[in-house]
Amino acid sequence: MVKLADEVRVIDADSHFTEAHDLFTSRAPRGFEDRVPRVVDIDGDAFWIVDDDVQLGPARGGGVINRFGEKFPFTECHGNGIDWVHPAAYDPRVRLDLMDEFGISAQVLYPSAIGIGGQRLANEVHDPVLRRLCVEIYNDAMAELQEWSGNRFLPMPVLPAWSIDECVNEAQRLAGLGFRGVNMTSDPEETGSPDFADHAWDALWEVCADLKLPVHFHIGASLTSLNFYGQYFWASQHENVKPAVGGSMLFLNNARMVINSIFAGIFDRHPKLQMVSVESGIGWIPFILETMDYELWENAPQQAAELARMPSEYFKDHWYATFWFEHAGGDLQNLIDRVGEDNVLFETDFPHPTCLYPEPLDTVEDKMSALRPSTRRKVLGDNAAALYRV
Amino acid sequence: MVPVEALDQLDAPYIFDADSHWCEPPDLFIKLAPPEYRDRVPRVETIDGQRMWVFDGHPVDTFGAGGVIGRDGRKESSHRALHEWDHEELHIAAWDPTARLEVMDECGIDAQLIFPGTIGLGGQDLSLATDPILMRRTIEIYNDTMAQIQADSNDRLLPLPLMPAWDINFCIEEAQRVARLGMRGVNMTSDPQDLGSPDLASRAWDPFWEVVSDLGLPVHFHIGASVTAMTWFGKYPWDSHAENTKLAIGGTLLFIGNARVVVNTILSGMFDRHPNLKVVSVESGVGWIPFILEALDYEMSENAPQELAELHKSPSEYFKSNLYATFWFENNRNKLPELVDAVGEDNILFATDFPHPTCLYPAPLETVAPKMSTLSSEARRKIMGENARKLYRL
Repeated sequence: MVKLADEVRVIDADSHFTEAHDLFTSRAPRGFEDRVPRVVDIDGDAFWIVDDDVQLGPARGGGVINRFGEKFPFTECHGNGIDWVHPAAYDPRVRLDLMDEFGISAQVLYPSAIGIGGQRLANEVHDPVLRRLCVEIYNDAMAELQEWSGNRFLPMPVLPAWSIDECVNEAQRLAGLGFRGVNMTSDPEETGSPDFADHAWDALWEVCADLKLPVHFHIGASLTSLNFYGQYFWASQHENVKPAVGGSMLFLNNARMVINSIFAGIFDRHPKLQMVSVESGIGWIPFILETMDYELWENAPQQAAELARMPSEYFKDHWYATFWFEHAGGDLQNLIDRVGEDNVLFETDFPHPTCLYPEPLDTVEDKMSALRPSTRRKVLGDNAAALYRV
Repeated sequence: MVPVEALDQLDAPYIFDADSHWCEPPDLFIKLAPPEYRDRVPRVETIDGQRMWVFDGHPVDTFGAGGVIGRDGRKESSHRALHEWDHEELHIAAWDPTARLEVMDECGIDAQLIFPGTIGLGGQDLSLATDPILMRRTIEIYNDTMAQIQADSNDRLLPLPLMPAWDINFCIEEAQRVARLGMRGVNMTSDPQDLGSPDLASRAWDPFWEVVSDLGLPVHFHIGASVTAMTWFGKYPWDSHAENTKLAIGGTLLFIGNARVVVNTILSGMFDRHPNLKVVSVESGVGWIPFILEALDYEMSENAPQELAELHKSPSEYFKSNLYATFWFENNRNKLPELVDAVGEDNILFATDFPHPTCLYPAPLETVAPKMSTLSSEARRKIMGENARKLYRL
């Protein structure tokens, strides 16, 4: 048996960090202290509010691991607050200790309260000055965190999806702050922007490609995808079963990003652009690649001919996907070969539902040990190290 | 006729096509209805320049050709065929049983399931009027006609009957009625809650599951066979894509969208309560199934350990005992045997999807013979026909 962390610098490509309650207020410029997101008590429950009492959502722990390190089913604990959750969910020092204990060298961080793609800021805050400020404060806080950690934390900053120009400006600013990618909502059209198939977004793709900022699409990072989530389960299913149905289907739903981006010709126009499908798993990818080729040539031969390559061929050069629980019927190597060993990133999803906890590396040791050593090193860390320049 | 080489490669004694469609002619229901219903059954009218199915005075869906195979046998671009063609430009086999049998002879197909087309792939448009008596009579008219087509074809054409999904008792009665007429399965919408019934995870449906499993009627869920599913379809593609590209995106995502039926049926426990119940995922392909079964086991162990313990077996194990899925274009990147093993050779049904977009036409058997020849003889025969022969008692 190989001790995984002895052999490679393990990078966890998807985890979540619960926003500290003073994240925004402690950084607010004068006059905005009472308008930026803050936590207040409403009828005994902690809520994030913004501007004049606009609710962003309940201020919860953002994880299924309690402070004693015990893991719970989602529906039994998701209402609990920050005092319930493991401090590693929000305290950077505790988080680093936990990473040391697990043998994880660096970890990509996604938000929680502001929406996994930051979509709540875009959807709920209507004053353009304030919402831009919210995005900048969040990103500044994340830049401080990354710097403080010596690049062991790689938080993905959010973009002001409602304006392409602002996205371009913010992406340039973020690159200057040392970020290694951006976190994008999958549905900017919800906030008044064009959808991503519109060539108006070329300006952002160009900047992200030039500045080596891979664009990350986390599952559930938009209102649309969460609306889908709410309709995946038949309503009479048991409450605990609903997230199991919704979760399984949400993985598949990220196929939407892969297909739409490839068919939009984005990668012909931006040959260096990289995208990452986060928390989607990988087992559906071979099916989707094969189906894309068949569907586009059957339904849209002219558009297929306008692409420089077969749709399925873009994946290897432009997409990554993260995985954790899959064994692929006992032949993980075969699945990874078919997705592409250079395109798969290991993740834990700590501390969210279905995360690898406790002992994430011990949990995956058997299946990882059965991989070719070169594949194993790539998916556990080398692919991410190259992508994120760490 | 099918070339000998292809038949040799397939080496299957019986070829069954588990998914094809009618393209309903505009006067279908008017012709069939008794005089007292003639003015109220679905008819096609032009409203604001758009041809629509109008049911009891209310527009319920757009009407179009609904197929991509032309009168001369040529396959047309989907967007053009679906949006610009008149029904009359279609291949006659798209709606005429005699012509359909000729196409099947030409293609080497022994028998075929047939689903509806522009009235909804689950026939859901027939549930969108307001008078339940009228809706029920309309469904009966459709089902009676289909039963007659089946009988006339000597069980070569198996058009699946529709269910009055807004009422569970009606569904039970109609299932019993169509079984007496000799029909071999039912076509069900995945979202009866769209029509005012409980959703299918509700125990209220148990009497229905009991009847269909006792009568040996597998329950078919065709992709896109509900109002909700079609709403999603519209949201899958980014809006700025060309229309043809949108179809390709919506089509791809609709295949994996049927995972919703697979996971919800399994987790509802219906197969524990009705071990002989069979469910068929139609036009979904099969390549996503191993992933979703693995994800389901993991998600349940993490999110719902107690409910998992209440199931008699792992969620993934129900697929082999209770579910089927149809397949046509996949060759799993030249590793078809691997995929067939992962899904289960007893659970896959060959389909052509004639005459819809992405169908295997012309020459379905020649198209699949090379990839099918990579399977074991037993697996090949099962998928091409023997699984269906057993499932549909042929």
